[in-house]
Amino acid sequence: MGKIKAAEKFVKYFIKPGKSLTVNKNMQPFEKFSCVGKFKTINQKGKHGEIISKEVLTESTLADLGDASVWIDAHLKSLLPGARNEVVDFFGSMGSVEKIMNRAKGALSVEAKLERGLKQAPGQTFKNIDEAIACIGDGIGSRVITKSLNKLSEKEIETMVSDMLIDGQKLTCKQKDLLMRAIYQKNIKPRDKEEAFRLFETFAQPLIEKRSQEVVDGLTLGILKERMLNEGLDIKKLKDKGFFDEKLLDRLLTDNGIKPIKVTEINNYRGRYGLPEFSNNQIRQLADALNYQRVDGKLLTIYSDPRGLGRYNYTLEETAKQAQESVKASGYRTAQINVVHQNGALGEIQFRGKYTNMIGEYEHIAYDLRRNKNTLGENFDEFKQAILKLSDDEYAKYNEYLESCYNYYNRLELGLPAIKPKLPTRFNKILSEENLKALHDADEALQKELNKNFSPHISYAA
Amino acid sequence: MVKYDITSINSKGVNKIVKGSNKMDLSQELDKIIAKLKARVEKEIPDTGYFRNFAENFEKGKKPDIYARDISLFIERDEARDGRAYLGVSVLHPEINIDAASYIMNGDRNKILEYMNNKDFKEELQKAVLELSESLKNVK
Repeated sequence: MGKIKAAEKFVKYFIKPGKSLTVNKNMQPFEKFSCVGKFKTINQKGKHGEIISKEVLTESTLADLGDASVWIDAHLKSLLPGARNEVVDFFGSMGSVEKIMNRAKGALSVEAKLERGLKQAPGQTFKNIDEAIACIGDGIGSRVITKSLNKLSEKEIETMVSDMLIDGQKLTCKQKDLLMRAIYQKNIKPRDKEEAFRLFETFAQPLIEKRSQEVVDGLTLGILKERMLNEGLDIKKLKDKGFFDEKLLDRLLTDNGIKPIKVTEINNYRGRYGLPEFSNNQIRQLADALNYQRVDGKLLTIYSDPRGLGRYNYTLEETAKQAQESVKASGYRTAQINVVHQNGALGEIQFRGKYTNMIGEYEHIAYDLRRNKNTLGENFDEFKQAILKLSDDEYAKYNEYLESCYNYYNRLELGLPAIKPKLPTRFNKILSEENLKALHDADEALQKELNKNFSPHISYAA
Repeated sequence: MVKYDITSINSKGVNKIVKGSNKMDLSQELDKIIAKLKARVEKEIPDTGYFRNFAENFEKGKKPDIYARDISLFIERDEARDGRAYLGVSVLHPEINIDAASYIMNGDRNKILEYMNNKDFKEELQKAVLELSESLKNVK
């Protein structure tokens, strides 16, 4: 890494190899932190050589935010062990859980959030460090990776299809044919695509629930326990409501090992033709446990694809923006909950299988590049050029390809037949999912190597 | 299950309906849909086996005097437990096609009727409607 010439009052603080923040030479203590957003106009060359004016934060503002980021980074790291223990205690003993990972947001991503937050803050000002922390939101991220199911045999699939009921009726021959085409990924006429997917989702529901049941039941009990402790929730009254299996509720009274969990938001992301991590029934179970309660004066929200939740007969496009946002163009697929950890840290816990976790690590790169968010090394340059060259229509088609990759990996997790998608020939080969993974893996290895002898430091001019 | 006739409504249409509609007494209108739904629960939920979801809405053209376009009391079959259903209430956003819904209880036909006949049910329902209506104010 080369040394950077320090400005008079500001210096570069290297957080990672080659990645730095601007901070004040004399960093301000967090107790005295405040930041008023100041902007300057810069001119940039556009795609066709035209000059585009842009408002950016001044170096002095960036340095103030840099100071806060370094402090918040340390603050979050201090909260990480408590939050980690809580998540491990909660999910670690579950037989369906394969792995748990946790990390605190780093200074670079804190700084990016502070920049966005400052632009939206009242008067574009943070009066103190608490206001800055509040705009970070989920500072601790955890992932709970659930185990895959065994591969289904053709006979098992056949039995599931012949036992399947839609509105209390066995499938018609046409429905059966359509469903088998969906299961085995054979050609489906465009006009039958929506119906085929709904049949496929109904077919796959028992598999989705089998994979997630332990996690969802655990969350349900944790949420109810939290409500018992903090809201005085009466289990007898809850039994009268009939929402839950009585045996599940009895565990609340007899099992002292159940830990409370405070959930403030649920997102159940998936692609338009992708299966969710939590089924609609499971989302309903969590909604029942939460009773749409108000949390700290804010309405608890559940964002899930409304097409299958039972209350709606609307198309996706007819529903509210928030609900539509749970469906991701690239097929991004995870269930995630926002929580308040017992030590007060705000966290996000994601639930997914090992294959979708793998593709989730690099699928977002294309999306980030299209939004000019580029924190990638030089080995991504060719990929970047290819992504930026795509027209919006081509990019939409590319997202369809990425979604089919997500669906492929999810099928593996559910034990369903799966055919690996091929990159359509119209695209540059560098855009293939295999290549994206290879670039990501190479970059990870490079960062690991660079990190070996690295420690964060301030760099002054030579 | 279609609980609302949303087919002919667009943003202009909503305004027309709001201006031209009769305001009504929330409590009285809730009484009406409770009575209608109870009759249907009695008739339409079997001991076991499949049944269709159903709902009762406010009278057409009457706008609730709260932040909502319509209110619906509904029965939704419990797919996991035979012969059982959810009783819920749903409040439709005044302008866009989204509802805020809450499940009130779950049970078989007799349990649902017993719950709806309880003297506290009306109060619980009214409270839920007001909360759901408030929650719609946060919807983008």
